[in-house]
Amino acid sequence: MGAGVQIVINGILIGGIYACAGLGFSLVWGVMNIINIFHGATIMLGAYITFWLFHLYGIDPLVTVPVSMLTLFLIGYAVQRILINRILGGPLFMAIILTQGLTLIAVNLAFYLWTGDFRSIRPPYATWSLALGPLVVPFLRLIIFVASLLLTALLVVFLGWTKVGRAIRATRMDRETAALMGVEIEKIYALTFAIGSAIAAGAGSLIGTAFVVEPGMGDSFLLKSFVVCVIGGLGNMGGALVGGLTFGLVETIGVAVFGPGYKDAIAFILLVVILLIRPEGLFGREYYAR
Amino acid sequence: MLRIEGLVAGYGRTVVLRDVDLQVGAAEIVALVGMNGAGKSTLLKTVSGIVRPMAGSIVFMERLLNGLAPAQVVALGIAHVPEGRRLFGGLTVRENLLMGAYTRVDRGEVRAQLERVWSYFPILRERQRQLAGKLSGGEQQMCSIARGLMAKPRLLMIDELSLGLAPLAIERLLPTLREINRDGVSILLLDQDVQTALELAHRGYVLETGRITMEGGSAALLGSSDVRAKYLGI
Repeated sequence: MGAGVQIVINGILIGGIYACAGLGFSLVWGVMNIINIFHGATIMLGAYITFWLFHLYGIDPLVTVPVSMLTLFLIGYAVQRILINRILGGPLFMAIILTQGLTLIAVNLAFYLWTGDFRSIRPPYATWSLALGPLVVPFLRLIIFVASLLLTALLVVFLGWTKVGRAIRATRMDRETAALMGVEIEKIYALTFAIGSAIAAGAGSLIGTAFVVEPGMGDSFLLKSFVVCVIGGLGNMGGALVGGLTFGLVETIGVAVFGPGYKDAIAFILLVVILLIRPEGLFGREYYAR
Repeated sequence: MLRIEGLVAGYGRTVVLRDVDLQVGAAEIVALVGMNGAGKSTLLKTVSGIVRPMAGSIVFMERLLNGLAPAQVVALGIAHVPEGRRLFGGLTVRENLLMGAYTRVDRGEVRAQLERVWSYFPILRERQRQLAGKLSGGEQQMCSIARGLMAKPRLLMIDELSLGLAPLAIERLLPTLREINRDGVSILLLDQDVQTALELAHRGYVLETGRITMEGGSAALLGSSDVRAKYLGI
């Protein structure tokens, strides 16, 4: 019983991170209809920013979150304006190839500059944990979980309650009509991509404190983001949260039952099962762009 | 107020509009009628800046609109109510209306305009928190017109007012449109339903395969044997 509850707790805690990682991917895919392969590399870059600020200057990883978010916001804005803008409206594969190319550049640059060494970010409180009877809640995981939820909430509030957020949602639903209202679509797209990148970078910073930091770390999170989106439905922020939590739970329970060797297989199996049962995602995608 | 001269426009190499001349005066309701595919929507899209003109000029209040982006055209005071309503179905009625005021920066002004629009369409105030996608057809058309009005336009262009609406819903819209017009907003009305459009309008144009073939006062057009034979089946 105690072990079962412990697994559920672990699953939820890890699920919060997955949700946060999937959020930006879901936003960009939902609004711009782009499968952004570069999302994984963005997470990696965010993690490295946190690693270096912590390693070189001893800055607390949580404090570095806004720094990596702002940095990748700017990079994301530039990437969208300069590169992705040129291929919008083209075949879906163009975006995949372009962002895959960017990923290759970023990952190999990371190898070149920072080597392939496995790095870890260990703030003083990394070993703390809260004991509730037989249950253990690692303090750092809890902090990351809460920070992930905060980031998610921030995005939900921004999209739901601000003028620009409303314009992003309107653009997602009907681009041409949004343009008729005076929305400058290219700016909205650049902003959406930048926000997606910033959230991914923030997730990367948090992930860096719980996982190994290395140039190729983005790959598995890209896959996980994909699964989170498919579970939660595209561009649906609440859905991404539920998708992340579901995925975290299923993965943790799966590992407990089948052993850690099946960890990544579980992601694929979940993806296939959900696509078979509900191809529109658990929460559907009503009112999306035509 | 709006003066279109020698307009040629289309998509890619396909020319849809050929040498179109059309004017809308201040506080006037002008109907542009014609069959499906005559190029009516293309004309509006060209004015709005979605379609680029190939030749000719579009002048609004002494400003040349050729080549302006939709955002600039809206800001100058032309609102476009697109064919098929095109509401943002997943946004609430209120959010849809606020989208119409996207180019307006002054919050107080937007709030005042919202009150004004609600006075034209009280039902929208009641439904403001509902998703626009859940409204009935008539209410959707009201919402779409209201969204256009939120831009505080001098000229309101309505594409296919009556398409897909019940006769009763159309009857309910007409007095409101007259009221909006009396308050100083010019209206350019496109409709396949020639009778409805010309009854509302002061003047009208008939567009056939991209050319204006007839123009004149509404009564004269409704009385013309050509219009009666082609569009009213009398």
